[in-house]
Amino acid sequence: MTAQTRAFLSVAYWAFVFYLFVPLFLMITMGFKDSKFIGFPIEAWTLQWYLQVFQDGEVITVFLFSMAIALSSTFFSLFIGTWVACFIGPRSFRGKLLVFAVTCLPAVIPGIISAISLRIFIQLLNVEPGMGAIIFGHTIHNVPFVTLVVMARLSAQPKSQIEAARDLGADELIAFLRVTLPYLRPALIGAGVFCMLLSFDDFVRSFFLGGYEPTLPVLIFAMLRSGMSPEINAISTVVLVLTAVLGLWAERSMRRMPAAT
Amino acid sequence: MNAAASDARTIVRLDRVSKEYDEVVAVDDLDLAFAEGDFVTFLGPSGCGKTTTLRMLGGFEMPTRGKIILDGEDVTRMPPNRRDVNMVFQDYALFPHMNVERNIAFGLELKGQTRDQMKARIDTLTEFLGLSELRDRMPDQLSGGQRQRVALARALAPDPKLLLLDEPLGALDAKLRGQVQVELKGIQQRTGKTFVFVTHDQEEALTMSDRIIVMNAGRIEQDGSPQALYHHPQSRFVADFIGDTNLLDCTVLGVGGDRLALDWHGFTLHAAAPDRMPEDKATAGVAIRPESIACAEQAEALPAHLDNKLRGQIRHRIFKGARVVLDIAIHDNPAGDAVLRVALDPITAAAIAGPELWIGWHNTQMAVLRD
Repeated sequence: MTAQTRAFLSVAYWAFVFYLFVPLFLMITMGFKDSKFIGFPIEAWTLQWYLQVFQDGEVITVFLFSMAIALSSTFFSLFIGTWVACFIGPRSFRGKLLVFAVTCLPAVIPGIISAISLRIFIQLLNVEPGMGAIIFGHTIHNVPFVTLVVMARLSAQPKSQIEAARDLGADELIAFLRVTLPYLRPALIGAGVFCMLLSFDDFVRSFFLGGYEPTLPVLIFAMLRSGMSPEINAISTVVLVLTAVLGLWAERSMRRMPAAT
Repeated sequence: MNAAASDARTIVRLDRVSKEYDEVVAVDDLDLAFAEGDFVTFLGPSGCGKTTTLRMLGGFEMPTRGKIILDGEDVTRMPPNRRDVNMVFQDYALFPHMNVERNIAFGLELKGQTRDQMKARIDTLTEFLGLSELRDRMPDQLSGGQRQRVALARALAPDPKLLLLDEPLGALDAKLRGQVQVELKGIQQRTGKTFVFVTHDQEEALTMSDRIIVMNAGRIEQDGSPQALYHHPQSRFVADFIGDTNLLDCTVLGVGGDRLALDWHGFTLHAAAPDRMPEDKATAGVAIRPESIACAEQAEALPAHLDNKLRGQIRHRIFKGARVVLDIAIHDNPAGDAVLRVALDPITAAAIAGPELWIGWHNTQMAVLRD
């Protein structure tokens, strides 16, 4: 690689980093500005927006509501996704590719389409929009990601490990619970965190399937409609920090897991 | 404790077992019985059916035909978790998320043993196999040899009637392998367990086994003690597969007393007459080991009882450390294709200046092959 190419490539990289971080940086900064008006110059600094967020009962309730949805949809996604991965994964059968394609479909269907169709579907079933419907929608969307990650890990597991468990007296279920499931742990942590972030971040499905209680993105959207406020910056910063910490922790615990031996 | 005596009871029997995959016959009509306490080895090249046979004993493959009788009970269709048989896998298959102790305890827990019973058993085994210091280690913190011993301890823990070993030394380096072979044989003798071992390494088989079953293309080529297999191979395949050998294609001249007269490149050789010699067989393959042939500079210097004597010339002299190998072209053989390989200890070899020499051997050292 010539010095010129290297310089060119590094410029592209730094431009990308700049483009990525400047908006984030601005958002964080404005959350500390002592003025309702967003923009430069900044004359005084304050923590009042943060205090306001933490004292705002509605924001806290909505945050917890979003967390509850994220946790439950993640739980269901992991359960169903692992189930499907174990069904598709090891053996080969006729139409395996088709089954696999159908499994992946929810990940690529545009969110708006799937949200509207789910909305119609729950109406036909006489299910009220709200928490249950949102969890249902998020779970459907997240299952493919779990299936893909778990399938990759499953295919890396030496067959002899399961055979050894069977050999030592385990039936198929015990062999799965005591040998395969621990082996899948890093995949499940990674996929789980990813599902939580997807669910927490989702707007379209939560908007269409929600009832009177908004999730956090829906609330922020509603607040934005009544005008930009530094309080939104403060909420966003808290969410940013929490999700970054969660993501980094997941990445670390996946890397620490011993490789297949 | 080794119950190698001939009256030992049969622990497992394969009754006309075959295994077919689609079109391929992996194991063809195997009829075998193993005596309790024996170290039995299946030896053969890859694809000969030895691993399939082992996996059928373990319950990982179902025979297409035939029965497997373990200690009087028909286990042919029994899943692996219900058989009193344990296996040491080729890659050891230790559970990576469990330490050594919990790996060994796995089979004991599933047998429903109490905490005290498990502790006693693990104490005994870890001490027996020199693993006491390693009980808290995770599998990825162990060396290859240590992992192999943990796999052995884990398989021995539930006290199986039969221990299956699927090429467990393949992953070890050559030096360690030699040491582990001796250890493994010692462990087998001290536990008195029946070991069924699978390998493609003939030296490994000769070192450890009480009995070797040589397999080729799904069938048994020969079944016998390491000594019998080495000195009296019955087929060309066995003679060729085990050790270094001279294979002689001869014309049968006739049987005289207990000796069979053969013509080889115009020389008359004498072999011990085999028990069953087809009357009309005109040709015969004969095997003789290089180290069974004696050498001397003068014909008179060869022991008198040797009834095969030939004169030749050293064509190659190959130094192999513990042995010196000579390729000898036999005299009075115009075509020059009568060549025998002789292996000598270095002292004897040094005494033979060559290139002219005499070689000789006794008729009982020639094995007449079936095919």
